[in-house]
Amino acid sequence: MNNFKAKEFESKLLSEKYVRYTHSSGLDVFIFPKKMSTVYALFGVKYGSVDNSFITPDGKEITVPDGIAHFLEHKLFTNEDGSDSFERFSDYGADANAYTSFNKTAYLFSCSDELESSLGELIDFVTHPYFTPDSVESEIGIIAEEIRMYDDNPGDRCFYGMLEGMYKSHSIRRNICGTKASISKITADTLYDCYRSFYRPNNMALVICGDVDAEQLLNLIDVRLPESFCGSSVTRVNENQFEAPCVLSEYTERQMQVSKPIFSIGFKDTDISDDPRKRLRKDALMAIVNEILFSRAGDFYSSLFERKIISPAFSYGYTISASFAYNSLAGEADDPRLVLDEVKKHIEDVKRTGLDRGEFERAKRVMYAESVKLFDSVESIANALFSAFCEDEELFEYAEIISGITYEDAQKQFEEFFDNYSATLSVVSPITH
Amino acid sequence: MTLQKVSITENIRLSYISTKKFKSELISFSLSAPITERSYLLSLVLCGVLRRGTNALPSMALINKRLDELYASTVDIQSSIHADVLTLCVSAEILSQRFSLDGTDILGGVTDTVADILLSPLTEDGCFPAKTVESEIAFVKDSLSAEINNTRLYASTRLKELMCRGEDSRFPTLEYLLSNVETVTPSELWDFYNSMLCSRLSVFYIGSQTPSEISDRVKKAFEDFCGERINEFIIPRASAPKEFLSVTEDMPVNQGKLVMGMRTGAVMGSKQHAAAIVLNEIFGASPASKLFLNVRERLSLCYYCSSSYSMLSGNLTVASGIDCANRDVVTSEILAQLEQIKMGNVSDTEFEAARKSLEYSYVQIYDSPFSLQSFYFIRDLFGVCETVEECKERILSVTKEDVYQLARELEYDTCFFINGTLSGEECEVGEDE
Repeated sequence: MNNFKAKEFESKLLSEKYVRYTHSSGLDVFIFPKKMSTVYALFGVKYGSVDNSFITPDGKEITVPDGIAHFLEHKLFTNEDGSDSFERFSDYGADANAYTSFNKTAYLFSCSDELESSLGELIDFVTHPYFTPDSVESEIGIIAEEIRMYDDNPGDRCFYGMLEGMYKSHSIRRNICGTKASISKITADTLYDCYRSFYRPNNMALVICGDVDAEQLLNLIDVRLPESFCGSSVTRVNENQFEAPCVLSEYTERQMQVSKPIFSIGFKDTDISDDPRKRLRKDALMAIVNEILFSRAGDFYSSLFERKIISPAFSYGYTISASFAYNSLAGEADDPRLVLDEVKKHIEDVKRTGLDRGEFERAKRVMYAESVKLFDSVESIANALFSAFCEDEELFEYAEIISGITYEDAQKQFEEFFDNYSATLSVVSPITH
Repeated sequence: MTLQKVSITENIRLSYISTKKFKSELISFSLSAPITERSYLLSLVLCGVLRRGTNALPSMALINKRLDELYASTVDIQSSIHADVLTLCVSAEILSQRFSLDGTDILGGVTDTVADILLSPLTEDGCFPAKTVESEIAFVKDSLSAEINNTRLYASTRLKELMCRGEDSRFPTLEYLLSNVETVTPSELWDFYNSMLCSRLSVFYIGSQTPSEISDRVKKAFEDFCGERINEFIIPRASAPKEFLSVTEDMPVNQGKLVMGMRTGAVMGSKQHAAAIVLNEIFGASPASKLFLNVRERLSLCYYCSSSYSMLSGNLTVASGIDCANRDVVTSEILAQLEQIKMGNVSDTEFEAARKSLEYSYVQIYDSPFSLQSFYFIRDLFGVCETVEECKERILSVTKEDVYQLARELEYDTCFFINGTLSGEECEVGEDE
């Protein structure tokens, strides 16, 4: 315990609390007590597919092949003695996994027994990288099949089409897994460069959620973290900051095996604050604005649905991070261009009338309920805590912000966002011969 | 957390688990009847029609608005097939009453809304409105056609169909559903709806309210319900192995999808049921399984290769996404791994890992209202009295010899393969630009 500084966070609104323990190495350990039958633990790093250019600890500026963060995630499970950590987790009865997104990578397990053995394993394999040319080579076949699988996924292709239409050079437009060509350029040395640059204590977090004994776990963590696990944060070479507010192209289309066209509409947002709290507030405001504009309980969705312009499956959401932000709508329609026209018309109508006050109250109630429901699962909580850490946010703040938002705040956000917007339409349509 | 059962009225039975563990609660209302191809088709259309309006809330938007007022409660209407039984289930996820900020009676409001949806749907001249039925038919047709968008799911559906070949099967094929959905008329649908209402209603609740509170609410909301038919269903015997059949379909996709169908002969309630679950786990259901460790990790032939077991049909299926050129080698390896089990080559480590993994999967059920509901619902439907704990203990008592014995009886008799015609081509998105 001596090597940790503790800070407690509590939400009366949500009836929950957790503690952040900062280790002397700089690593943040979050322990969220929850009376559940299972425990979920995650060891993650603020490093994802967009972090392709950076300066290594020895001062070398490098650009690495696309897909390397995801490749590293696969390879980290292989240990120097030839064992695989996946198998060790199985020996302890834990269910292990990992994921890579645009800006983060996480290694995780859940269990109901032998928590300390699994937690020790998690810390050991994440802090002890071991890559060889042979092990890199053997992974290429597995990841090539993963890439093929996503290449055949129309929803995934449509989403990337939207990002490609929106961004000119931001690395978010490139596939998280990379391409068959890019992963073949990955070597053990480039993996080590990435690992040493990003897998550093103050760029990582360890999150544990469940019915646990915090003191016991902190002692274990303190003992298991190796001395080699040290060093301060990496320097990213941020090519991603210089995107114009306009989308690259207003329309992209590709043909695939689909029964009818599917679409993604993206509204590019380059008005991104450097202050994480302002970003979080904008995230909450846009969630409410979207709920008012596009909800299934609203007139707009009903009108499109009744006129058979869209199919029942329809989704919307706002995404914001330090270097990218966009609002998106996705669904299935015979004529996606007509959907975009209707969306634009709807925005213009609301600009004239203002947001509906009754709908604002409904939207706030929905967002409040969703915030509460998040805290029913150890998995959701741990992942939300890690996401908040990656964005330099505090987990409970989102629900508190939602409760304080006024109609005027939402109206102002709507006006600012849709004042002079730039949108792209990505379509995946059936193959025509 | 134990399941209790009470009769609310002569024709409404309540199964409940009292717990304050969750912030959200679950209440579901199910009607079950023997299935026919036609009844399943009708149920697909009926689910959509019921969602479109009630006498009190005459549009989908108004139903959604009402549910949002009830703290974003979600209501899902689904029909499903369990062996020879068709179930129409309306399930609601609701926020626990203690999080109601203004005293709104969430459970009472949702129960009333569900009763309204089930018992007082919107009608026109004593029948479902023709326009609503027509548009729902179109949506069902779109949704069925869209199965090809997801080749993994499509392959699994096709395998299931092929495994039922030659049987007096009530399992409707995709082809049957697609070619007959447009023949559904409002009056036939109305008759079907009324026939479903003749069955006894099963209510399942997991949450913090007392059984008498639930009973009172349900009794009041469903006072007009008079379904009396008591259906006692039994699980049919597992179907017998058939002459080997292999079907290949060409599709313009990158990755081949290989699915293989085997018959264990063991269904829920049979002596070998538990052994089939353990066999499946060792063979291909976890990262410690033979398929994962050999087809993926040792030979790098795929990203996923896994098995699953259906306790209602006794079928065990293997699925993998592969390079089409590797079809033979993957098939041989999968069968070789099965052969290893038949020969008694399961190490103590493998067996123990499978047991622990299964033990954990049963503990996990306690952390999810949905998992608890599905575990107990299926057993309730077929009159199997077993708690989660009893089921877990039964599985943990399985010996290696039980697994070998069952593996030796396993018959591989069906294969379906999607031959990706883009496989081997330099696909647009998989290569560097």
